[in-house]
Amino acid sequence: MASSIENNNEKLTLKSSDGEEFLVEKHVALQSTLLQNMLDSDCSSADVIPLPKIDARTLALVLGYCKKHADASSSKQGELNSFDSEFLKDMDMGALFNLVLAANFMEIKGLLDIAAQKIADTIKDKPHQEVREIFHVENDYTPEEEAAVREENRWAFEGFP
Amino acid sequence: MNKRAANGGGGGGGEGCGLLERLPNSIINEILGKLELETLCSAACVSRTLRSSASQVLSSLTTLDLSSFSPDVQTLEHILHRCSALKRVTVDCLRLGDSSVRSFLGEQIEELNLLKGSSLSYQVLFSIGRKCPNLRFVFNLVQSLCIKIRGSELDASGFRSSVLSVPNTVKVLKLQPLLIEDAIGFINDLPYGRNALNDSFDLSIPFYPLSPRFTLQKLSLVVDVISDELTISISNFVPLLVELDLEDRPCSEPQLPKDLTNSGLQRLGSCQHLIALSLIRSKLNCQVYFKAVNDMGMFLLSESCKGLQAVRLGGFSKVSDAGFAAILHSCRNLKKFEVRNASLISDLAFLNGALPSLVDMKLWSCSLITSESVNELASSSDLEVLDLSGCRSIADSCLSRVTSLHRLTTLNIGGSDITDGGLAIIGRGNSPITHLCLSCCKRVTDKGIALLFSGGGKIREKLLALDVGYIPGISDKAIFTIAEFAPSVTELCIRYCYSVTDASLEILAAERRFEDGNKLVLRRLDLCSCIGLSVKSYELLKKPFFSGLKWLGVGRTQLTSKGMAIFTEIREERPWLTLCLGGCEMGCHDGWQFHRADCYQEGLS
Repeated sequence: MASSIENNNEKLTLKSSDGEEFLVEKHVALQSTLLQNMLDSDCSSADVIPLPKIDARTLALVLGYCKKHADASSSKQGELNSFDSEFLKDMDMGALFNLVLAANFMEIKGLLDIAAQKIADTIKDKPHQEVREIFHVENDYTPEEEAAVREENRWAFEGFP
Repeated sequence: MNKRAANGGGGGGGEGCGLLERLPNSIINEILGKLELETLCSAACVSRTLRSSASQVLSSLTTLDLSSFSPDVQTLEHILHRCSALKRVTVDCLRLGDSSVRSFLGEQIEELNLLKGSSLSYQVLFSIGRKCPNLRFVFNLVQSLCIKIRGSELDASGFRSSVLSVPNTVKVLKLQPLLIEDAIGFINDLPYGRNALNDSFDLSIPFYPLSPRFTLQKLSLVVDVISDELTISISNFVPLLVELDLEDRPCSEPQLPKDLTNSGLQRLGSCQHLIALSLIRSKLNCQVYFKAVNDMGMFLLSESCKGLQAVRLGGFSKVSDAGFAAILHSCRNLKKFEVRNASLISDLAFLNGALPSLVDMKLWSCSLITSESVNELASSSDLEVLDLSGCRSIADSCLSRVTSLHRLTTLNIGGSDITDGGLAIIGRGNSPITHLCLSCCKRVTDKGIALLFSGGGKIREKLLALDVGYIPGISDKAIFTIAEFAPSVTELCIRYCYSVTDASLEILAAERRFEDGNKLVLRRLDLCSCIGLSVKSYELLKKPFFSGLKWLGVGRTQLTSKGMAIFTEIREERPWLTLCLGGCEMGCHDGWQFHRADCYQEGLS
């Protein structure tokens, strides 16, 4: 960590949807485009910034990601890559969805990217019945519609009878 | 950072229903955009939301690659009608006709790859010229050889006018096959050349200012005979070429002057921008070589083309070590080097003097090459592809060096003197090999295959394609090993393995899951001439067996003797499976071997 940042020692407070407050160093917060824009405008760092859509557990994860990337920026890319893949390993689908939503809301491109990729990897080569289970999606097709859409895409799921 | 233990509130996992409904469309699109085409289309069946997102992703796609299977007319329509922004298209045309191809031509197309176009006619060329004025990059129409053999309807003038309607902006042109007269006529007729020349060839004609209108950079032709006349035409009329790829397939021994000589080769030196050169005389139709080219030709070429980065030379039987070494030593940027059917090339070509740092090295059927050369070549740590197919003097001793290459992904030692001990070395190796060919390695047995996957090396998890064809020592045991221990193999060739029986097919057909949840999903399987398979085994080709299979070669097996009916049944059930009864190489290769998906008669007769 650069010493100038230590000296500035600027911190801001983020408040999760369930009321927990997180004290975050400014350079970590800057990983988020949303927070960056807020800081650039008149928003004072003394204020508590509410994040009404993100719960504490998710926010902790997000900030863990930001801290790693802020501290490691310009250092080894390989190390970050292995951090990224370890970071999402064994995470359940619900937590992943929370994370992708948070990354989207806070505009953290890198996190959004790896989380979306992780979700995509999970359903890769899976039959659509299994995808329904993974995503807890109801089948909202009428039987006729489903027959039509299946016919149209039959070539693609031939691999999963 | 102030971290406190999460209190479990605000839904981690297991909230129950409707995970997907929480995501805005933009994120769903982001996720679906990361899927490959197959999973994307399959995901459309999940729900209405996913279907509309999948449609949005498809409609914004600019690149579509349908080369992994042979779509039929309807499948292509289903996919293409949802894609409205395509600029780069690659399609396997094995089962498509002219009208299907025309249906997606349009002004927005910049790059077009039509593979295996055996059912397409030259009329398609005309349509492409008319409908794709913005075509810029690849124009790759691999025509089937049969068109020339069967097609008297294609007179030269008809061909020329259709080619000439190809837009001037095309930078890459690949056509095959052509008669040499067509090829020369065509090159001479290029818009660039027209202003430059009125009458016949005259070697003394000076170069005219280069026309900016026609800037062909890559030319690929398959002709009946490569001759000096062709290379002279090329050097005169398309001197800006960056890549040149010529192949011929003579039906009889070429006679001078209709053959390539040293001076014809030298003429190519005037293509100053050339970085990739491929000259292949194929033995497809008869045993022929470039007999009028010797070391002198290679010296002349290497002197004038020092910028070459990729060189492929096939059928130069009179060129010796000195000639090949000249290329290796003067082209210092050489990354790819390929020599085929050169009976004189030996270890000496590689042992004297420093080699360029090659990435891709192929030596086909060069019988004098031994492990010593390979050890020398393996000193280039950049090597990714090493293909020594048919080099029968290569033995186990070079393998420990080879399998320490940390970038090597393709290793072909087909037809070599490798033994089971060699496979044990590969099995322990650290190379991330994804493609391994052991075809025709007569000394390999079931035991070797077991050693390959039990050595703890990288091959077990990395291997995608394995060829153990033409090996008498391969039996069901080896296939069991593969089915059990090679989880990522998607392409398997066991052609001419006579000892393989129905038991192998059974274990390959069944769906198997490995501990990590992955399944063995074979995409392509070559069973050609597996005469140990009984007629009954065709039951295993029906659903639900072999789910995901895209290509199956069953030529010259007992299955084909049973008659058409069973194949019609299988084909109706799985329209996107290409069943090859003609004995083609994996995936029907270039498609030049005449073969239509609906032409079962071909294989049966």
